[in-house]
Amino acid sequence: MIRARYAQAADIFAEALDRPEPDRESFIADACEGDDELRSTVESLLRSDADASFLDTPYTHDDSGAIENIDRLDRAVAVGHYRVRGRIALGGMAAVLLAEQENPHREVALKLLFLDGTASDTLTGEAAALGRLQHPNIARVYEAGTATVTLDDGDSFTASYIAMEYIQGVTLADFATSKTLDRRDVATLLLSIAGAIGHAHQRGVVHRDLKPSNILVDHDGGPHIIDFGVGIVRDGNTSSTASSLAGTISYMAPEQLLGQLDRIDTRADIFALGAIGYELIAGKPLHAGVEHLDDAVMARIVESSPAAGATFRAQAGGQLARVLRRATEPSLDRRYQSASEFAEDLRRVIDGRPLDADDASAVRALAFYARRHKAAAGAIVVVFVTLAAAVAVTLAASSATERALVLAESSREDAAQQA
Amino acid sequence: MNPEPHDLTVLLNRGIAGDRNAADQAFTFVYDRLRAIAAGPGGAAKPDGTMHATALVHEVFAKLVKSNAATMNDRRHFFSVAAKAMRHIAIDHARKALSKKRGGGAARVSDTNLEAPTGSDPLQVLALDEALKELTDLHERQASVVELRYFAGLSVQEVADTLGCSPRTVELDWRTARAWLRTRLGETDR
Repeated sequence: MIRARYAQAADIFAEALDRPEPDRESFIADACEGDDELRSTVESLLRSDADASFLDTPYTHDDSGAIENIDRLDRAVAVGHYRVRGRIALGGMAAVLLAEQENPHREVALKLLFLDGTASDTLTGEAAALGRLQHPNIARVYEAGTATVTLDDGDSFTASYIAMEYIQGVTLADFATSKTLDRRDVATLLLSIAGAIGHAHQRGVVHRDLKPSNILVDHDGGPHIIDFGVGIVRDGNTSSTASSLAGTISYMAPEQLLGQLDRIDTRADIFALGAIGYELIAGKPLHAGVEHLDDAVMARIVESSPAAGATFRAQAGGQLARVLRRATEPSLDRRYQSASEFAEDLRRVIDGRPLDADDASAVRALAFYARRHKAAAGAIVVVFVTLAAAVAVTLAASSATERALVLAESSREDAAQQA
Repeated sequence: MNPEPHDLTVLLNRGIAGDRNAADQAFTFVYDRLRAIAAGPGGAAKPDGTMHATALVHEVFAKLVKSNAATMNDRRHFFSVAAKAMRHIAIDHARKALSKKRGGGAARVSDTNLEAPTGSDPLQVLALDEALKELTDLHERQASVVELRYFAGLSVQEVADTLGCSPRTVELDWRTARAWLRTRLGETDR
């Protein structure tokens, strides 16, 4: 059939549809002007049109096979040289098992991925980078690779895994709801997390997705970042806020929300820290109530931080409110320029010393940052860890957000390798 | 190396502006994301392991674009790419399903046969794809409407927004294309 012919038939078909059924036959006869082939085409179109069920349901994907493996994980007894002791979490593309390592003897959180190819490459590269991080407030990554998962009936399959430090605790989100935190508690928690983030920044790793659900608080009240690009979100009581838009965007700096890729750096993590602090004090996410990111909302977010409000100042107290306001400054230049600067002010709040976060120091810090940034720019390697689908263990599908990790490799190291 | 979400809209925009490389990257990115979700439990999947294109595409959209203050243009670009990606996924999946049936997995097939088929029929998906190629030559917009409605599971309004035409046009295109495809597939059945 040629285009013109088709168009002709389609036109007559469309017009026929507009007419009551009894009139259609004579209309078609007239419209086709004795062209029998055209007429039969139109008539067959009308007959087919009567089959209303055709393509009625959009394409439905059935891949029950992939689920099999993840379900069977309940019966896993070993993963490579790890002995499986239980299941920590399950969801998304991955599962986290509690396992035991023989030598050295320790418990590990074993994260398994069910994707092949690129995902495992991503995972390995990421683990290599994360292996460089050594901080008491960051869950350690011990090892990554591919291993055979053995089930209790002897059956087996292959999966990519990351072996991580096993931390017993609750997410910061749950911790905050189960306990009343005063200003000092909040500042102390933030200080620990800021230390961990500062450590990562010094090693060229920007987190970019810090939020209460990927920080675990252990029994001693110590926070641990468990989601450094390995995306573990614990299952169970995921608060409803976490699944709302506000629960997703509240920890994202305006430059992230605006998609200004070239402006996203370590200061995005500072923003997230500030937003977490805000939430711990205020009892609601920074952008609570936001349901659509329309222009008006964006304009408000870019204009000023909710931490600047009088209500929040009353809740947080003047000192802490100022610190959190500066951490959540929409303007990159007015935000804390480094985790250590932020930590220093938190220490002042805890010790009850006055802040000296004056403009001059901000300007100095900015100038310093700009210099350092320029020097590093040539050596920055950006590794984008794929979002939830690939790496995050998303136990509540709704809370899945994009995972992204920037690894700004140290130029010295690169130079050393090349030399 | 995968572009991150904020990049996607940039890639999509560059792709629309004629940058082939960016268009390819955007496609691969969306394709991978959709496939990853389609391949695993959780997410848009129902407990029985099936998932509707609508849920899949919108889940990926929410993850990749929505939190990024998407403009109407971003939506448009995303959905046209996603529909193509979904079509590829559907075809790959159908081919695999058929080869599994033909191949050595005889025991497997009898296992699965115990349950009622839940997903779209692989044979129909492949036949539809072929017929859609023909329709593209005859009426490109109608073929796009089918791609967006069937493979991406978009609503009439969403298709209209994506294609930049009225919902009325979409309705009519859909009905005509559907009738033609039904006729075309009916012929091959016989």
